[in-house]
Amino acid sequence: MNEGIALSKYLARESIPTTVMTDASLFSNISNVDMVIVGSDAISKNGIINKIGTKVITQLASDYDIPVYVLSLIEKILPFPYDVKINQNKNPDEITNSTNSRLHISNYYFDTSPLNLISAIITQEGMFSSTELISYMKSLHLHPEMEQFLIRDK
Amino acid sequence: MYCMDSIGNIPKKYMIKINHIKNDHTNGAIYLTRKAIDIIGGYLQEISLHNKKLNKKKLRDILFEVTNAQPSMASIILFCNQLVILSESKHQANILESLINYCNITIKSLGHASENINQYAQVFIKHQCKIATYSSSSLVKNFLIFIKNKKIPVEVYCS
Repeated sequence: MNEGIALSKYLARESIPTTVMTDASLFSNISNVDMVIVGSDAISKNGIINKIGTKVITQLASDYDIPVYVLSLIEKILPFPYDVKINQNKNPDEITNSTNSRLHISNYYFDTSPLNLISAIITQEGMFSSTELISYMKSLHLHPEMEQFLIRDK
Repeated sequence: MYCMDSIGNIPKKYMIKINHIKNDHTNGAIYLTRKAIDIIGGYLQEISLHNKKLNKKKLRDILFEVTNAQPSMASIILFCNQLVILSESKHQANILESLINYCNITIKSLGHASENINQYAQVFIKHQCKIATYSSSSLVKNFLIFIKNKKIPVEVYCS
């Protein structure tokens, strides 16, 4: 939480002209930027897994023909057809500490941006288009006992 | 026999380091994957130094415990996955050596990751361009510093 604020403070200290805003404000102003650059927590055939809200940014950027670049370790690319488990509702107290049992609190950390919204995935071994990425994923192998940590997708 | 120096099948000194990874909610993938490699590489080096026989069951227990410490972190899952595959290889004359080599190769790859990514990504950057980023990534942070050091003026929008 507040990772963007920490990043903006760091960049400002490094004398890089930086503006920090709320997530909603960034979504609203996305048409004013020339490109979007984000990291990733993992990359699967379903897309880029990153902090929740990334999917909105990538979709909006695509709507405005703004390129989206993902900087990632090649080690984060998952073998085909696996995905990471991101659908875990986190500590509700991080949103509100309501005791009302009728209030459902949704606190998810990650979302998945489809690969067709991404202009390029840049790793230390080179750049991947979506098609190249799928071929690379198919060349990776997962040991059967490691399947417990991932989801096998169809 | 109950042994104070181990927890389950895993030596206590490794469990302490694994718990550090588990309780780290601040650092990113590069840092935590390096920590995971330090643990496993350290264990393998210790076997090599003392000319011991590789206990595949113990190695596997450590690998699964490390993976469990950050079960959503792709880079740790895939690193441990590769070691499990290598440990079962029937084509390697010296499995221990191949495991240590893989640890060294991965450490080297992580060490140069940011630098290489910067080189590839800089082709997309134009003077005075406005860049939006979201949340925080150490690779993105390093890249923006790299651009600044290249004296390419950019504006960054964060949230």
